[in-house]
Amino acid sequence: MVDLSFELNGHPVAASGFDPQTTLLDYLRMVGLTGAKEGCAEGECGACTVLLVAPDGERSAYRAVNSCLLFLPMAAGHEIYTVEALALNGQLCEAQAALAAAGGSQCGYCTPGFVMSLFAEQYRPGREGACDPHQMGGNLCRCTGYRPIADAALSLGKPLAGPFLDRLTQPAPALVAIQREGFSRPVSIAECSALLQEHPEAKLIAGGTDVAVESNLRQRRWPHLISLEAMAELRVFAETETQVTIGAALPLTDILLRWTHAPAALAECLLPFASPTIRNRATLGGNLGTGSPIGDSAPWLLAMDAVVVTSGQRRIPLAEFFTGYRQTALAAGEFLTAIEIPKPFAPILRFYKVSKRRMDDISTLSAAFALRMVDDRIAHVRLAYGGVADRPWRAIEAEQALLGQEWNLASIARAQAVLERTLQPLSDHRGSARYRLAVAQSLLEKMWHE
Amino acid sequence: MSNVHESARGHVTGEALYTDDLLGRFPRLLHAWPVCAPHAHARLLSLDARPALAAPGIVHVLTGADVPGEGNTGANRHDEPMFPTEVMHHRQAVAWVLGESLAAAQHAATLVIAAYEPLPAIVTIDEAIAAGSFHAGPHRVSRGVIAESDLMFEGELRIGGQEHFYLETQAAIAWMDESGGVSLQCSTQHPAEAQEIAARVLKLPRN
Repeated sequence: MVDLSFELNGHPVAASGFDPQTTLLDYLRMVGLTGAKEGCAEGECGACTVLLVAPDGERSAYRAVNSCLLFLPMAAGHEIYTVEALALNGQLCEAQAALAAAGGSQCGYCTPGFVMSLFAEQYRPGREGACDPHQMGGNLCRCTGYRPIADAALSLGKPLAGPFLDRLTQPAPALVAIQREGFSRPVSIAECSALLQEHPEAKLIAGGTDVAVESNLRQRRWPHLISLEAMAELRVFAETETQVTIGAALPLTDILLRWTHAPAALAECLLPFASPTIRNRATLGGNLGTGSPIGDSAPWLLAMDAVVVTSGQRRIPLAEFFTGYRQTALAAGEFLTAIEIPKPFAPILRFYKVSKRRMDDISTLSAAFALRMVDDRIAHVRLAYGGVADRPWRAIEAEQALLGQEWNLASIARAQAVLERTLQPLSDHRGSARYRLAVAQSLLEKMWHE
Repeated sequence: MSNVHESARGHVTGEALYTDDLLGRFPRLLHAWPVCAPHAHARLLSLDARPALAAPGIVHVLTGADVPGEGNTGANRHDEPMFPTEVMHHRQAVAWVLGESLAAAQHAATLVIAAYEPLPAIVTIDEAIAAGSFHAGPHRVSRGVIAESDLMFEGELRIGGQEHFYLETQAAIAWMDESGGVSLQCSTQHPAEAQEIAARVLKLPRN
């Protein structure tokens, strides 16, 4: 691979001669910046956390991301900070001093990652009051314990004036097109479509939170990667009277920030979806495009009657998008550009994620329910599930059993009986078929009780 | 407020060095990567390292034949064969590939052909009790005579305790030092134990 350049800790750097699937983490460690550590190589532990400067309107924000999930060419044009940059003239930054003072490190291996996430949280634009310890949800500690680490976050207020704060008043770097051996980063849908014609075997990569795991842990190699990160058309967010449009490559963090009056079920879905470090990179297009039967966004979007828009200018109802296990209706060379959610939304919307851990875990089962009542009768209902079939699944027969009925336990029992007959989940290490069916049924009751 | 502990500054600045952070100090370091068994319990029937040895950047594939001393790294019970003929847990290492780069070793590890005969695996406590399969003999702590007690309670206690995993990855660097001895830098809490085991495996004096 030929050269690429980016800004690292305030200095321009040029990297050349690297395989396109080299991670940013491996690169950093190779050039002697060993503060970022590898703990898991799959974005679970956060020991590799670094900061990207991301757009925040006309200004910027620091975003904590997993450097193990960023391929080096994806760093091109970015402005990146590692833990080595934070202490200016030997003076610890506030996040570093707070973690040290609170006794927030024992073996210390996870600590640089915590520092980076806490730093990003302290400098988060518009943040009020103390820092939120949950913003370090993508960082695992196995010996210190989280109490002193949370204390450190709670002790931090507004950041001090200085170069790191000044930086945020300026725009984030604009990402430009890149064309290298084995890696391309187009800036328009037309350019991307042309690249896919030229490289039909290419792998599309948005945030990288899924693709890089396959590379790191299963040694998967692709002949060509096409990054969707620099396509402005795929990073839109727009809300009108009739619909919400979300660009397929807009990170989940930006969706949460920009959709200011979203239904509460959006946060119910996206907050346990993954840690902040993953949400800073992961996209709806990636989560839907990979076609996983347990992706968390699909049930939620199914319940919202979402429509996906493709580069072939097709608008496909999400309910028709998944055609089999990790199979979608996308044609060769076609990719997702946006997700449209029609308005008005159903007044009652709930999202449930059932997993072994509450956060930072893959769903055993997820469910999203939408309900509209007219004259005490169910006039509109959507029951959508993840983790119960070979694809995200809408329980259409059970919906029909509820339609026109009163919303009570007797109606729910009838819908549960239909689920018993129509739902055929798999047994695996996350849960047995029997368990999944029981959960799918009982979540309806849970919604009724709530 | 109590004083900040002596390692805190190194931890929060990232200046504290761990084993894997030291690679840059060793030019021409060989990287070792394990060939892992895909079974929880199995007999290893054969191992063919030739495809791995033919891969670019591969120097050697370590097997039991390379061990000059005792091929066992178990600390006390000598119950961890380095190159097992009977696989005792999922992803137990059965051979190690030595390559000029980590990527080369990782790739070549997938090329080693190992043939296994899967054996029944015991994966729950109940199955272990039923099979009489225990790690060690019974441990007893006794005082007094229970049968003479005024009250007796019976029950079963299950605890979900497990060995926690260390965030620092398992890594070790070995080199021949200036005195002709073998030096080790490893991610361990037990330097004396690591030294004793390395000497035993390599058939070298401990001191």
